[in-house]
Amino acid sequence: MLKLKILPQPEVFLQLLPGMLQAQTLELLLGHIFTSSRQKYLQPISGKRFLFRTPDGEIELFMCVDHLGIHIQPHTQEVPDVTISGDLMALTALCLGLEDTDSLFFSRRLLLTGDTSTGLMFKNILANLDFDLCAELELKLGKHTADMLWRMATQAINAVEFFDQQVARAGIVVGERFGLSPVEKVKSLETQLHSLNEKHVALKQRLERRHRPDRAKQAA
Amino acid sequence: MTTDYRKPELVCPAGNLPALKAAVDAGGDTVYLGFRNASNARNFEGLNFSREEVEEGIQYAHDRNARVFVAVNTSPGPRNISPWTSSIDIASELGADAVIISDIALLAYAKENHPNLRRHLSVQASAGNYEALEFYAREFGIQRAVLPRILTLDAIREICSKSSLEIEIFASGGLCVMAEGRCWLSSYITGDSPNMNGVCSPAHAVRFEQENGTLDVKLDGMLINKFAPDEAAAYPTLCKGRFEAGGKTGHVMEAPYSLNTLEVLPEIFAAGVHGLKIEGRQRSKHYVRSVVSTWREAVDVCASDPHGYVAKKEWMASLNATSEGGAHTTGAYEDDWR
Ligand code: SF4
Repeated sequence: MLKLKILPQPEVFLQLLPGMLQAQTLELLLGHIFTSSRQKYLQPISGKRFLFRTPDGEIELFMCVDHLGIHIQPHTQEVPDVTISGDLMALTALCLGLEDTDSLFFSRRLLLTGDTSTGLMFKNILANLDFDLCAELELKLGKHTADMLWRMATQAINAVEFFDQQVARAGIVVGERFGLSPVEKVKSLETQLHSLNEKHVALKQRLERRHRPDRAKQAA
Repeated sequence: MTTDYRKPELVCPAGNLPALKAAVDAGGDTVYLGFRNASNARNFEGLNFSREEVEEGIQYAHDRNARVFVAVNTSPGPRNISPWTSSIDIASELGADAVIISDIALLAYAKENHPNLRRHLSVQASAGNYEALEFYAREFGIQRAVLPRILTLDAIREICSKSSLEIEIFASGGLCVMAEGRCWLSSYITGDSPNMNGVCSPAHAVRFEQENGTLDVKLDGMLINKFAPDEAAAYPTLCKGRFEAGGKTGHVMEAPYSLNTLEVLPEIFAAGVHGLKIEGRQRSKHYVRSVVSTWREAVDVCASDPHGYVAKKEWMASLNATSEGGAHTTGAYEDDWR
């Protein structure tokens, strides 16, 4: 069975919790997706403002699109045209084109409020892009580095999501979690290390499937 | 008496280039698509193909022995027919394998200007009897007809046995209320209809609002559905809304089931249809890849042993997992109602 090594200090990933870092990571990835040659696709949503948020409101990323591309920031006073809510994995899947987005909406893991036209346009712009993020990062950074970065990113996202769930389950309110002692953080995570590892394995398998060449077309 | 079984081709949906490639790679024999304008019945924001994308898609499909049909299957209004006729011109120029048309003016245009381009009658024409099909064949030289989803398998078998045309039927995906090309529910509320504008429930009229986990869905400000927390939702259409009638609240027009004919595949083979159409041009490449793979396997298994064929549980589960409503039906195919 596939085993993905858990990085030695999971709490390192908790440092990703500050909104600014999440915003920068997402901006980096979307910036990569919408390189200059693909920026023309953004034209129909130029000037539109999007808010991505987790249902508990703990993570809020504000995105606006202009002629220079996509900009993401953690906080804003502006009123968005569209708000897309969902758990971090679902939001990441939407933005990076990793899963069937409609199924995420049908199963209520994603919710779109505000201007449905703009939301649908954004979803379809992403769906229309003919790219493989993993392959492109590989080409740019080399396979080893890309694999490592991708693994770290998915682990980080997973760890953040997992920790959020634990925090919510424990009834700890926002702000107090930063007050947890490092020992408590590590303990909380270590007790669930096993299930976390399983989630990583599933993710790894999904990533590997993405690298596998598509099944050859069968003769009619 | 021995039964003849015909193995139909899989006609797969694509709303964009990645979906087209996914359909071909997953074993689709043919992909159908539309241009990014009101000329096709899936005219949603950001969906469909530019001229360049159609060109690339046809190249990709032809390189892999797959075909591409271009849907120009809405009805032009009285003012400007050129987006429709130019869609037919471009499809012909780029080497599409067929155009799917419902409007008689466009059929006549295609016949006159592109006689060598195959013409298929769209489901939007709602031609559900042998005589109507003969009329279209005689007047417009159509080679194939997509039957409306109001027919039973017996009726389909009868049409196939009498008609010289190739017959295509829907096998899988979202269902309409079964008055193809003649539904005015959407335009009644939003002003836009699938027949004229290519869109049912245009996104500009749709609003989702959630409070305490309950999801309200509104069409042009009118509440048409309410979903309990954790209840699966779908893209809203008026026919699948929930309304109060006779003191009860529920789906008064149509339940939100998806069509799935895997369980009656041998009967479909025996009816002699040429094409099995999978609905879903509005869906992602992930959906297309998953659904087409399932259907490819099922059709191949059925072709190798139609008598021993049984729809596998995992095929059903896979289709249900991605379908709107999460449940399926064989629709009118096994029904008495027409
Ligand atoms: S309202 Fe329903 S039956 Fe009418 S076009 Fe839309 S989906 Fe089809």
